[in-house]
Amino acid sequence: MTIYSETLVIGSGPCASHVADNLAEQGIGVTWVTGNVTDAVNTIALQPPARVNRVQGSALVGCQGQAGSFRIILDQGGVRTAHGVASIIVAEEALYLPNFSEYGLQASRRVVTLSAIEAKARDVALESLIPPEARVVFLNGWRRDSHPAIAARMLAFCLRLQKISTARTVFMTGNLKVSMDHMEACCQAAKAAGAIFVKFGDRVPRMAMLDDTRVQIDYHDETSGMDFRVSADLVIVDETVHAHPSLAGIAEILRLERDATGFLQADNVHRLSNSTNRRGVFVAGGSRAVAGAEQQKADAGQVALQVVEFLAGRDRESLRTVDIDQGRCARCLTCYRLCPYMAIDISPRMTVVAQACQSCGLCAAGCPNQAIRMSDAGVPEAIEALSRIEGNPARSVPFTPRLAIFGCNRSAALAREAAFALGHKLSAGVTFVEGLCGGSFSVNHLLKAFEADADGVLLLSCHEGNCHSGTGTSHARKRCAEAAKALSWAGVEPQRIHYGTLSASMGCEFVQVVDDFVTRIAALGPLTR
Amino acid sequence: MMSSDRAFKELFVNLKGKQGVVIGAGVAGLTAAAALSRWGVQVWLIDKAPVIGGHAIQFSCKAIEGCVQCGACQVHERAQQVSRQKNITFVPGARIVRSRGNGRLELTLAASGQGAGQSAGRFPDTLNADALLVTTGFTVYDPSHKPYGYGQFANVLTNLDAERILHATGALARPSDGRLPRRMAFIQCVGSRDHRIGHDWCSKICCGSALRMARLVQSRQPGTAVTFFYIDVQSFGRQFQAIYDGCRERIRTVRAIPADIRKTADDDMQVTYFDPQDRNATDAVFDLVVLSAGLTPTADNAVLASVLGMRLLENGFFCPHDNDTQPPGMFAAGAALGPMSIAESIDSAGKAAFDMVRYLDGGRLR
Repeated sequence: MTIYSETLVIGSGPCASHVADNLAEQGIGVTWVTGNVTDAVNTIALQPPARVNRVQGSALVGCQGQAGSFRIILDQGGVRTAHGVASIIVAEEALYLPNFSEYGLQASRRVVTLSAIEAKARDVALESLIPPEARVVFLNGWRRDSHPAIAARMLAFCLRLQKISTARTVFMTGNLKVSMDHMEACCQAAKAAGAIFVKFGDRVPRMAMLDDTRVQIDYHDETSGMDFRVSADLVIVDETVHAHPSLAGIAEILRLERDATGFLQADNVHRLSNSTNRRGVFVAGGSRAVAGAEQQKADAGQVALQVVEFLAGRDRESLRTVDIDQGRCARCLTCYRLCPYMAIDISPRMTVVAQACQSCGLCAAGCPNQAIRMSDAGVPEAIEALSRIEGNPARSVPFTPRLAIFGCNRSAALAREAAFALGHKLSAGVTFVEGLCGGSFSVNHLLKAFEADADGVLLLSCHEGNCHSGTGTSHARKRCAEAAKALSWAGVEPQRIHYGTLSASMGCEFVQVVDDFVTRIAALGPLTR
Repeated sequence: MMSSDRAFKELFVNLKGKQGVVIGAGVAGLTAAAALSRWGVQVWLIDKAPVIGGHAIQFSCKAIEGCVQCGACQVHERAQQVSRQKNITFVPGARIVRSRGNGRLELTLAASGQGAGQSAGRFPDTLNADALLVTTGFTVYDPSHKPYGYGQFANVLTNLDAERILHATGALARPSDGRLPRRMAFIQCVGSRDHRIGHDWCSKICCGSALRMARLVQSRQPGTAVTFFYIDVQSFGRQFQAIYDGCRERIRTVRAIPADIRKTADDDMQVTYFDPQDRNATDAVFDLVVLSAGLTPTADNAVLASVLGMRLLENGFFCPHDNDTQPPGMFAAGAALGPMSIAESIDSAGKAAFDMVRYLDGGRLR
């Protein structure tokens, strides 16, 4: 397999430019595709950094292969070219849509978006833009809350207008967002300069267009409890932040997870900061819902470090080797479907691509022929250790159940340590079996524990939405249900298997769930074989 | 073009054997230390506390059925990663009392006086550093200055007190009698957005923390009525609108900051506030009140900055290191720069690590 050293940066705006620049500075070859011209949200003419091969007006249309050896196809005006890259960084800008409809307004000479007025103010002096003594109303986050980055820009423009022009500004908002640096101070300064702040309560303002095209707004101010009317010479309307429309296609081509709002990264703390579900594919800036110019620039820095770490093979501690026993493999494609990281290559034979694998063990646990072996997993040995628990708790009086707790090394294993740190102790007879993921335990593992004299089996995985492998949690839950069904077929109480979710910080909850399970199994009594 | 392979080797050679000092072992310090160590930098991770993990190691997970992205688990996971790295040395219970040199620094350490006897306090007297990162985080505002009876009334807690209780016990009971509260109140912006005391900043994390905590308590302790006193609700995370909309169905929100709290004979808390609906001073009785105490600059920022020759902002937080505003080789990240969530601290530390690698590689910063 050819391992490439080039990288691909996708994006039409400043964030992609920063990423390309940062990578080029480290001596890394960069191809920068700017997307179709119609997709471009930032129409500024960006100069490509030196050493960057910018392919303007081009888009990614195909991708095969894995981390280190992606084979991509670019389309530029109908001409398709193939390239080999080691890593792909999606740094497309977010899409900002004007919020007119929210307020029942339409764009006009007197009703403009924040971006439009900001752009004009860059070229023209404020005095010529805003008539003297004009009443300027800012509409921000009325029915739906405003994005703090939009509110920050609005507030900064309001302050500027109030301070250096004769305009009289009114800032109307639902929740005034001040959760970005210096916003509260900016708000205080605007108030001191004479800007009026109005907060919508549950009563919605009424807007009407006057004959002279001014906008009349009747509103109820929640703070003073009074009704007011303002006739605005200029209304500045906020914008909403969305995932760029090109991200849907990019996600499909690169087989990436998206969050509920379409951004190119699952909303999962294990993806922090710039990871995706695929090794070698990173996401930055507006493609992962980072808004604000400074924040995007910072993101372009940290993503570059992560890309360099990946290219240099320094992004993980040690590689577990995963082998598919070709003699046992029936090419059923179960592993291919299970792998959340797209690390299984299917031709010419089924293989696990080490560069792309993140050692979650989902494939090995799901393989119906048990053809996949992971080095250093240690689960069978841990299960076997169950039968060697000293003394025989089963014969002790009162009965102390012998339990196997299967847990993910990212959550339950750490919760167990947190419990010890809080001074808790576990019941005697409990053996903890640490796995790479909640989904790394097979039905076979769970049943083997009973063969090794367990009276009960508890499987603890991460909360839904917190699983590093994405689907490990749901696989764990299903396998528990399957194993419980197998138990009842064998005439054993299915309650002897229990499934739960925990996170790394849940030390006392770990003890509670284990204690509850001990009580349940103690009530059931020893498992008679 | 230089082949990438050669570039990495050079970068690694340039960084290997360099020494980095990270001051503060909270989530930002842990993240940056791990990133530096991956490049072969020998990292000394210093903290005045006897334990690793900063404030957030004592935070509770807010998941109900699914994860709500509070980030508390990330501190535990990152602490474990750091403990596995051979080239990171955790130095608990220590502070820096002197710094000499330009470029390569010689730092003198002394015992912080925190957790004496627990950590055995054995660490080198001096350390050399080719680059230094300040991740000293924040100090929570002391609400005993406010008329809420904090410190006098057992059933008035700060958000961090509540986090610690939830983390240690899994439930939020009244400290006075151990009873589970039926009527709880959260009061936001205690020591934040407070112009009179010079705190012209939003603490950013409290709305997310309080609303997630309210939902967790209502889920674990069904039937708990929650009232949320606020000025403006601040966004948190990508699921903000969904979580906030869900909260508004279950939680009474009152856009007012209470004037004071008095104790009743039953150890209940009588909260007086100006009701924005009927526009009158109103009393409401709660059995537990959580104050969302703001994030303020760490108490010893001024001392540390003067020892290191670093700059602070007017508000007392550290000045960002961009644009040569800090001495060469000195960097700052996380809540030392201003209030930040766990996710934002991770971002900030990642960016600082990038800047530090570039500096250590060529001794330059842009």
